[in-house]
Amino acid sequence: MDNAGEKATEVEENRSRSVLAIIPAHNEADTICEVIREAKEYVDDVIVIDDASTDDTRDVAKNVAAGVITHPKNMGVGGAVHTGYQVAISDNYDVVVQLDADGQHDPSHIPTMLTRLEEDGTDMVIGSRWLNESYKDYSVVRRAGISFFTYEVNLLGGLDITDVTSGYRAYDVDMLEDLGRPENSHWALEQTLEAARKGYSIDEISVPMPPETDGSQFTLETFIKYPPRMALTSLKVLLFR
Amino acid sequence: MMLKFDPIHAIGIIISLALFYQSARLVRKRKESVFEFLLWMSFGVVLFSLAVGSAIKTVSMREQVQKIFNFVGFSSGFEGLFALAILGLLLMLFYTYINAKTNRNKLYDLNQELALLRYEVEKSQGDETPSDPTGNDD
Repeated sequence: MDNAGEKATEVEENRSRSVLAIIPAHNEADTICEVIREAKEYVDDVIVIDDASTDDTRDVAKNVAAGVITHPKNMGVGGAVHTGYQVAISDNYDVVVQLDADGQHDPSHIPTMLTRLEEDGTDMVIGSRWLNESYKDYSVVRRAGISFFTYEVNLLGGLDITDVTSGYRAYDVDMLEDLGRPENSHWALEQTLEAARKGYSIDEISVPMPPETDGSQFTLETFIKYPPRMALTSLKVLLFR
Repeated sequence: MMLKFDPIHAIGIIISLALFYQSARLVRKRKESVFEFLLWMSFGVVLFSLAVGSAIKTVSMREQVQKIFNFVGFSSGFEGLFALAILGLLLMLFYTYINAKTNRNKLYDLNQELALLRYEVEKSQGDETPSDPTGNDD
């Protein structure tokens, strides 16, 4: 933790832009507190978008986060992150970092993401589990699904990324202002494809992600449902964005 | 290829062009309704094919349509009428689905707007007495 603390201080000193971390959460009372505390070390503010949780997520998060926005009705991750983007835009932050509330995304990678954004001028940085060995712990169905969707986005968007479904991301807020509102599901695919087609630069860093978290379900049913939805999402971006 | 245009063919082509225009209008105005685009575009394509196809006299469109109907189990008379009725119902179902989806998206927008407004109010009040966001205050 000392190393992380020192690193955080170093990042803070070197950083020239304001950074907001957004954490979409649905019934994550058990883990969210720790995630917020760790994320706070690397960013200016942390806000939680409570997606109509029925447990104590909101109350727990309020004690440690700079703000908690609560959806009256559940919208899904796409809706929750979009609410976070709206706050970042209206409060004039320069950079948004987005991570899951279930602890799957280790906040200690935030400095590397911010460095890529600031020094390389990248518009979007994605934390990829395919750039390390952690993807091998995932089920075959899940790996096949992620590979398929990544291949399609690479093909349609002219990209060369490895993990399009990852929700661990950092963005330049100017880019977010230019992107449309993503669907509540498959938001990651839609957002990546739209950003690529609008000419924004997208980069990846290696982030190990454990598969056994409650918020990361990818079943056979999801695998079957995804292709037609993916086709519609792609059509939507190609036609309307 | 021999073409013989009757007024009915021209009407079919005009209506199908109107459907294409409707599809293009959705794209130009960035309406983001993929289903609606598919609805107008697919009916436009079918109508255009029928209108142009039936004007080409070297291929008997009526025979081709009859063959397709027979293949899927419909023949002429009442069964053909039922087939058309089913197509009509599918159109209505499709359109109802689009309306339901549009309304659902509007509800999502309102949901988000409400959440952001509550957040702003709480922030401006110093977050002293946060209300129950689900509206179950009593």
